[in-house]
Amino acid sequence: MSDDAAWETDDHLRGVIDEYMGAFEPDPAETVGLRERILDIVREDLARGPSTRLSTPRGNPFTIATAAVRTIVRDAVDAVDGIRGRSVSLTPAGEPEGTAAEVEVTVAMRAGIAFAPTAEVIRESVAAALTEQLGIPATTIDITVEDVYEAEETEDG
Amino acid sequence: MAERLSSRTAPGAFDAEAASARVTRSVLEVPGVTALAPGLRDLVATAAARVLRRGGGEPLSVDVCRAGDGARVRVAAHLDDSRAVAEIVDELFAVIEVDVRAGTEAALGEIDIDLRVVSRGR
Repeated sequence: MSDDAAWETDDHLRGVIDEYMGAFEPDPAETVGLRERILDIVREDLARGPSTRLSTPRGNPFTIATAAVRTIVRDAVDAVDGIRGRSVSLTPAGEPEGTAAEVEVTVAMRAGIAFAPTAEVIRESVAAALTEQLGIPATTIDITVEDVYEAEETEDG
Repeated sequence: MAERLSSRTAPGAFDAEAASARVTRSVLEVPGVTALAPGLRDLVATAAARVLRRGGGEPLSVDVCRAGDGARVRVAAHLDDSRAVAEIVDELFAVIEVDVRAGTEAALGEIDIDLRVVSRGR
């Protein structure tokens, strides 16, 4: 996954802190090391998970929590009969970057399912979800089967 | 460097605080947006309050500030899955553009919108 560096880099954070401090006048005695202490706290608060930078078809850039993107892809994978999504990786692609995506998924397959045609169904499902939900096409969708399960496991969860 | 304007602005001039209030209301009215999340400025304000042992607790709002001859807007929002993300993002860009310019008689340059989707609930 590609993180959005612009939002979370220290330089950017320092800019926001300077901007905030410009509108706020603390007692000079309180300001010793204030910016650095604020930066430390904000860095910790920002450890809320990686994000991915994308762009809508109208060219509006946005950052979205990587977990939310993974959920969209995983739901599309799980919607295919006999397939359970495992890991999902999405890398912004296209020109400009973020107008498309490269996707890698690992899945578990129900025993007895033919892989080649099912892989095409997975690709169609993932590509449709990306286009419908995020407005971006998938340039590649790589699928790795890392496990096979028996049909009974489906009912037992 | 962006410059946050004071609330004392000349009539017709760009008023960042008023714009922030307008944009905050509009953003929360966009279908699919469930709440605002703390943006960087909210995080900095909270961190400063903690460091200085002062009360914080300002309600979350969209951060709007002057940047050159234009404006910079930072939005961090929680969405639900009632609509496509791209559709919500495009609508947010449209309402923000309108609301930032509303009430400003002077020509306002480019509006830089930094939009972050923090979560997408069911």
